[in-house]
Amino acid sequence: MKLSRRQFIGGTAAAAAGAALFNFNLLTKSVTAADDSLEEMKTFRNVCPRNCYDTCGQISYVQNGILKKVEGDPKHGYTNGKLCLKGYTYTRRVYSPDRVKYPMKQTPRGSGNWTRISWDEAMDTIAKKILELKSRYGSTLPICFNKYSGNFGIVHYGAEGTMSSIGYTTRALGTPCWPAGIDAQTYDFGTLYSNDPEDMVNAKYLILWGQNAAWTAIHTLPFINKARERGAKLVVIDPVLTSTASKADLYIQINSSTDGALALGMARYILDNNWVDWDYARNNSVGFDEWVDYLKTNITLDWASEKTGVPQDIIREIAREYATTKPASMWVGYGMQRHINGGQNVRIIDALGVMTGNVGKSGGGVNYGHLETWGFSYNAMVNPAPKGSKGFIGPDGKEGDRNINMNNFAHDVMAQNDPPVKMLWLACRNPGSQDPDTNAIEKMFAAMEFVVTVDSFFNKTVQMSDIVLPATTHFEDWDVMASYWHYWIGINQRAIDPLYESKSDVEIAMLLSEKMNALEPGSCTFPTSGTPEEWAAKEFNPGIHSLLGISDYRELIEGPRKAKMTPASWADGKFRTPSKKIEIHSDLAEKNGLPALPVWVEDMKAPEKYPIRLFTPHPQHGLHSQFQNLDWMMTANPEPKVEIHPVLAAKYGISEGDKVKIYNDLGSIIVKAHLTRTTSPEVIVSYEAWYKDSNFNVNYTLKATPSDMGKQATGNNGVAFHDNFVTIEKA
Amino acid sequence: MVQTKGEVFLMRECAEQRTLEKYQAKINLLLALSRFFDQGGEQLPKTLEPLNKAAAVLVQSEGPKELESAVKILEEYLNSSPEVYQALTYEFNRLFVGPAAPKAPPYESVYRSAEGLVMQEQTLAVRKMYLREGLHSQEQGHEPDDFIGTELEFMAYLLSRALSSQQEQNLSAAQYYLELHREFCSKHMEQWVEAFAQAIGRSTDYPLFTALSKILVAGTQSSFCK
Repeated sequence: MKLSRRQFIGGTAAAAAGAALFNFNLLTKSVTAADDSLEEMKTFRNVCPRNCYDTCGQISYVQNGILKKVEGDPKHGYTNGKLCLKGYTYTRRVYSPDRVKYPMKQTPRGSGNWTRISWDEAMDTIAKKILELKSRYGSTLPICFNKYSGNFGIVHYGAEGTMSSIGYTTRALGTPCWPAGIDAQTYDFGTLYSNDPEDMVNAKYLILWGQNAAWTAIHTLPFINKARERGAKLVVIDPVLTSTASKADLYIQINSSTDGALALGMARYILDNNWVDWDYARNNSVGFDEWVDYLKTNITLDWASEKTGVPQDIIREIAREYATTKPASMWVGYGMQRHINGGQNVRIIDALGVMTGNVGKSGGGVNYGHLETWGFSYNAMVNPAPKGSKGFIGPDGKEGDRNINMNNFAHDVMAQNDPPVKMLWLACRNPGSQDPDTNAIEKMFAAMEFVVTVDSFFNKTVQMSDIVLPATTHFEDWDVMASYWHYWIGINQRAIDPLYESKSDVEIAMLLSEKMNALEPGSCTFPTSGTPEEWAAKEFNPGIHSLLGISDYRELIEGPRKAKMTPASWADGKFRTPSKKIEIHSDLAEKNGLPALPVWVEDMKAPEKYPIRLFTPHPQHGLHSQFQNLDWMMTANPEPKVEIHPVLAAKYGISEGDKVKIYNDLGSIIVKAHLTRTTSPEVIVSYEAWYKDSNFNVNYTLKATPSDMGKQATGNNGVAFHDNFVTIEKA
Repeated sequence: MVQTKGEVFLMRECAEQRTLEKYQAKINLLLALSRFFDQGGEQLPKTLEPLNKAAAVLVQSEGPKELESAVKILEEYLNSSPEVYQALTYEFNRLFVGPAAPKAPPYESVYRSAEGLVMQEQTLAVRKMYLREGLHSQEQGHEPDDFIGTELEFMAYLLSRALSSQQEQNLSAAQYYLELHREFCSKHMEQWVEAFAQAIGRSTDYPLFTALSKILVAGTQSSFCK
């Protein structure tokens, strides 16, 4: 075993050059002859593992073991040799002096008093705490695990595997991002399954619905532009005039949360003009005529226009164009489903696509996302609980983990009594920054006995932890990544050695397993051997091989592969609903207490006291709490702002650059005003982000209001992030 | 015989009746500083005393007057209570280690590269100089080669080689090591140690670390050996 520097100290003298004796502690004599020449530049294949549509193929350039630059992989047909502004900052992430470098312990939690500890001490402390809790409560259920999207590499599911291998634990279940839309498409089609985004070039008409590709999926834009060069019209519907909207042929500033009303108005007009693809709709769906009756009885253009704030002639224009320009593609963004009626709005838009026969067509589709290329082995994730583990008896009578709601995490952790949650393990996750109701999150963390966080940077969650373990970046790991948007899969090679003492989730799991079994044999089932490459290799299986047309994962080192799938989802008409057809009428939805049909469900109204809607969408310079803390981003975008329409600003006596207090019953934030007409007078906009050395966090004002859907496919409903109401005053 | 620069240097040393102990004192200080940074805040009870001793010896023999107060501050901390040592540990980590962004990252390239990052051209240049002596950082690839502790150890090593060569009357070897030491100082340590010390000075309220930064700057000047 290699001695660490610290172990080496106090040892005998190292070899000394020449006759002199010199006790080296940090340097050592090279066994090979001195060679100070510059190595040839080596390249490696990597994949950006962030929670992003694009999941870019990357080429890393490495010389003398140092990552010199990161570029797009030209062999990746979707990202096509280019990265986004975040992707080009990667060397700055890897080599930032701000990285978490060593395991460290904070005493007491939140004090800022940190001690450096060895990995051995960290594992010893954690293992003993786990075993003590297990002995105190008779199970490992007091240990709660929360992981989400910090790194979507498949091997990173080893973090889940860490927990499985110690017994049954409490798990934060769900997805904060997109569950309402997932359920909508699950009720309608059986699952979410979007067309190949490269197929958008075949669209003759494009509607981007609450989707800001210019910031969050920039590599789709070339395909959209190609379609436009061929004559396609681009319509963007969004409450905010985004960068993407600014490029559209037609931008429609819709009232928030009324997208379903617009789609219903369009549907009524299409029906009145008999532009309906009756054959497609009747042959492929159930309940279509029932919905047509609803449209005839309940929907008028007057109503739709009134609800949405969109003039009737515009509704008529896009309805006619969408229904008569075939094929027409719709891209449903995740922003528009973050409402109490968000899933239902997606169901209505789905029905619009079915009504016009745009589903199952190249150049068409109601495109939301897909998980068709994610059929990996999840080898690192599946470990049996140790013998004799006691679990939680679920409603189905089965013993297992105790699932709590990821989207109401603070509340649900505190609500557990039998046994209570006493310890948190966080990986790929920053609830301190990203969860709703930051004050409640802070209180919940303070109530814990022990908190372990694995991360690369000192964010709010690390700040509230007892122990932080340094995470590798993806350039320091082997992994494999798929996308929830495009159809490509790429291998991620270890391009450089892990910096400092950073380790991957799987390496941490192996260390923990070793320690736990030393303390209590049989207490952890996680394997204790395997190189990072071996772990990545185990994620491949015959299904993935055949999907990609390879027989060995190493073939991906030659370049990423695109899954062999038809460009148009649902082209075979084999829907995965109980009826095997599109379910315009969904019994499953009805059983779950939702409308069976894609009918209008009222949006949330602003309370009198808090009349302004606060939008907290995805930023340009970061991805959730990642990237914005890096130096380039802090230079380009040094401080948060709130975008306010001048009319609204005038009403509150606020001028450009003023500090504004934004508040409601939950909490408040103070942020600089930027006056702009890109938003409406009803909506103010402040982008979610974690800025370096700042406690700015939009979620101090955000209540954990559930969206209408998500439970069916993802375990829990989403968060109605965009149904957040506040008031403002000059600070 | 033409006298080389190094020989002139050594002869002048003799003329000034410098003792070998002074060399040794300088080496001891560099090593003590290296250990101070390398072993971390947790080991301050062990690293502070040798550092104080080495600095005191040097100050007594020839050190600049302004260092006397810095050494005195170090001395005052020697018998600190465990609580004070604990606080110093936290402060050490806040300044140099993390997990929050350290106020004074102890790596050359952070101060000298246009990028302000670790693992930049300076890191590689330092690695090359180590290699010229057949040395490399034990943690190469993991820890930046231009970590302050490693640079200090390399300087101590070069001086100790010069010293032993002189003792063996191998003047050309002594010259070689002295010049290499001077080159390393001027190309690297002197290029960033003041910026590093300033970062420490403006980030801490603890006299210990301000004193340390002064001793570090004074102790690493190549002029110290002239």
